[in-house]
Amino acid sequence: MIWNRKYETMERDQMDQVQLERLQATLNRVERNVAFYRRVLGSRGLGPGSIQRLADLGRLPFTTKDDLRRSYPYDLFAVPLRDIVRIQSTSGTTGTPVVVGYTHNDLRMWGECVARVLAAGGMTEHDVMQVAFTYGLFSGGFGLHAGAERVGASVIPASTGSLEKQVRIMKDFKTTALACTPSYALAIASTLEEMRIARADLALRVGYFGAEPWSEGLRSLLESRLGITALDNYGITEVLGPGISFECEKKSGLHVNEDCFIIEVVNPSSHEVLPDGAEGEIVLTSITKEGFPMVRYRTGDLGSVSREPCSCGRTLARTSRVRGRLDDMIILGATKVFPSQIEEIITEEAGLAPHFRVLIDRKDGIDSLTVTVEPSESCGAVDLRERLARKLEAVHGVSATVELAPRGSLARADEEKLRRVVDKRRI
Amino acid sequence: MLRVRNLRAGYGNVEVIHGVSLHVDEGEIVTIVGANGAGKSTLLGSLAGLVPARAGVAAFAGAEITALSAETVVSRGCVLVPEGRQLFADLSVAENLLLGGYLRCRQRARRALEQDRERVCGLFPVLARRTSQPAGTLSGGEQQMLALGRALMARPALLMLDEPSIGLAPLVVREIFDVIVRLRREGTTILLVEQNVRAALSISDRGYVMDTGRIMLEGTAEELSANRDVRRSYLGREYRRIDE
Repeated sequence: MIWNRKYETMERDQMDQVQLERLQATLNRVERNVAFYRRVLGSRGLGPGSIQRLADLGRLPFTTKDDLRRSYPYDLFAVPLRDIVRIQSTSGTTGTPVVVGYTHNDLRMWGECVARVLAAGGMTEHDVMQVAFTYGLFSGGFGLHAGAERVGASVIPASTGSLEKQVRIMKDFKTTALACTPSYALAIASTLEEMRIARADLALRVGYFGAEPWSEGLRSLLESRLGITALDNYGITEVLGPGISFECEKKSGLHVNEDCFIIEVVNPSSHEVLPDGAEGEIVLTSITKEGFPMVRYRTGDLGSVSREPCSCGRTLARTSRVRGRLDDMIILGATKVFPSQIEEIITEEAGLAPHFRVLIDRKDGIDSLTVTVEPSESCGAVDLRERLARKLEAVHGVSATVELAPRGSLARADEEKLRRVVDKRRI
Repeated sequence: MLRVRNLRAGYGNVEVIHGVSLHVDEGEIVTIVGANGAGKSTLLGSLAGLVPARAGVAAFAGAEITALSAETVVSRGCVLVPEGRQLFADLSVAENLLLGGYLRCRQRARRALEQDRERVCGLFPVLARRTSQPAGTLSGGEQQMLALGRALMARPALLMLDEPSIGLAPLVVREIFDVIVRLRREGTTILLVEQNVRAALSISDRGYVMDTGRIMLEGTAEELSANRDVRRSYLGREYRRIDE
């Protein structure tokens, strides 16, 4: 279902006009109200009025995670603090956290964006939505909550925590829609099986998963084990939270809420803007945010964009599913592979649990990669290791040693950020 | 219906509007708010063909109007009700109205013009009562109604109003705005320029905030009303620190 026909099916030339107006207004505002933008725009002679068409966006400087960290906490806010009614922040696991702020209008817009995400999966006021993202500074919980509330579903702010409690809520409260990370969803699926709760005992229909890259293999697994349609959605706290882009029922790309965000894809090293279809780093510019506007924020996520019309009827541009974060890319010599690609191979194997760990080490100047997997049956162990190693080599050129771990030994995703890859070379 | 991109205009050496982009869809009421000197009147004047545009493009009903003369713009269906009314004070109410339809006189549309005059008087009964009075003897509110009526005589598809509430008592402002809403209901698209933010946003679908010749914010009327920065920053008071 399309939540907002006006913007989700807008003609291209009309959308271009809306984007241009909002981009120009955003630039006028940040140039006036945000010292950082006034400085970086001024130093390049880019005053307001330098953007006359959307393509001119390419002339503006990027905003990076470091810029955000250096502005901790409030230096990038574009309105006085008394107009900010919500503060969220990133976890800060990889450095100083990034603090973001929302005005009343920003919160309303956020709810609208996420409502579109959820309506695309058929959510209505008849749904019971279980939000199993952490509620707190992290934007996931509140974001999904606001969108579901806007749609009118009955929202259960379950947050994360005890899986048994999560499952009990799902069964007793008759949850029809689940929102969480895909790895948490997997843990829920396993817990359901352990507690011997049958799919027939649940009212679950749809899952909205995001906040980490996940493979098609994992999608099929979740859909069959939970008996649901599993849809991807994308967002980052620095730019909004969830609600930037979302899959429709066609599952062929994530529609970007283009009336609120302009998306570009750039070469990760040269930062040149790439044409549609080419994979690169996703760059986002907010065009409606008041409290914390972002101009050409380099997300560190890898994807491509397409402006081909989708058969769902939406005219919004689509991104590919995010293959991974630039940071997460495992690089061994000339080999480059993403954890999600390893996940794809593992989920294809019938005899394996969908959990794994990657250990990268260096001895005597030689890099090594060990992938530890968890067989769910104990037959053909030796075969399994060799077969997997050959597959990794053949498909991704990765030369790895495969180790087996005892059943159930690889940690569950109870914590926020799953650390599946450990690179000892960096330590 | 109206699509403007990167419009620049001014007077002599002074550029007053610096790259303004906006649009008005058919059937909308869109308001531009901003303090004195923001460039709102210059913007409307530029669209109406009274102030030449120096750069940028304005398109009305799919065709460019940027370099057209004022009377051509009117003939296309885009009509301005100027700031301060600008009535012919010595001419009667009826004569002022007729002049609004001047372009159509040449098209031998006398009967249609008469019908329109009656329609306008239906909208503003006071004009019917004062039809032979010199326009200069009318009260402020009556003059505003006459100015509006005169514009309607040109059968506009898009009506542009420059500060219709200026100098008028609140009750009269309410009356004028009620008429604007009625006009929209009857099929006229409206672009309104106003300093009276609250009154204007109360009848608008969307708005733009202008400040020193630039658009600072765009949104639905509800969003602009909820933005306290609109009043504070763009309509006068400044803030200096984030935690002020």
